[in-house]
Amino acid sequence: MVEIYHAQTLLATYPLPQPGEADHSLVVQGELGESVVLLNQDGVQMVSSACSSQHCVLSGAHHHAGGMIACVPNRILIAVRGRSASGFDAIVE
Amino acid sequence: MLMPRPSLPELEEKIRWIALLVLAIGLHVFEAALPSLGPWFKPGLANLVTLIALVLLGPRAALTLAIGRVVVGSFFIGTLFTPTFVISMAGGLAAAVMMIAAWRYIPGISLVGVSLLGALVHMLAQFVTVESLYIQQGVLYYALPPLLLLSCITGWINGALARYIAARLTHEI
Repeated sequence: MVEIYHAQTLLATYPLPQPGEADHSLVVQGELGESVVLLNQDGVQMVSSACSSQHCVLSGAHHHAGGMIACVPNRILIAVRGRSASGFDAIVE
Repeated sequence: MLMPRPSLPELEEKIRWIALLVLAIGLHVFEAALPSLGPWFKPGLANLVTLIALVLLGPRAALTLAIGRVVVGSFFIGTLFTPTFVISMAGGLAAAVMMIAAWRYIPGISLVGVSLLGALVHMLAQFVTVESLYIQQGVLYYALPPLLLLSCITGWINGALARYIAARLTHEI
């Protein structure tokens, strides 16, 4: 699952596209302006951002749980979270 | 009324402080231009100068140098008063205070130890600043452990460099 935050608020939660599923792009309103987020087979990436440093765009696509794109000037955080429902990795008896 | 002329050693110390400040500003700008491993990560060479100032000139000089180089360095990069500047300042100040405290209150600590503590606190302070001022999400801290590990490596390298440089400078001056 991909979670997109602006400052304190969770704006959106999306699953990463599975093989064969279509790309998905969305526009997020941040502190400075719009950030465009793209979800595709490579993972999630920031396509464009209103910030001046563009570190978020240059960091590329992320698809592993724990992966993160943080755009501090625009106060946008994109986090890839694990999708384990139980909260356990494994149960051993 | 003429100001009394400052003594020669006093002037010498001021000149050394300015030389170190200029060096730190140069390194600050140089680091910003380096291709980075990640947006949140730099080798911390400018902080190395803070450490050398602490050893050669004392705590006051180290603290003023840390503040001065962030302000002037950011001015050159063009990030003055932006979030980048606030984060640099928080990291630089926290690291300077930590290194001063460690140098003064931990008996027998080496420069490598001081530098390690400084690097770790620098990284921590940056995360706390971002979390409290810009992106109030605890998820952010999941990125902290690997970056702390990288900080250890650069902190160690910078400490070893500082030890070498400080030894050279104190023997030659």
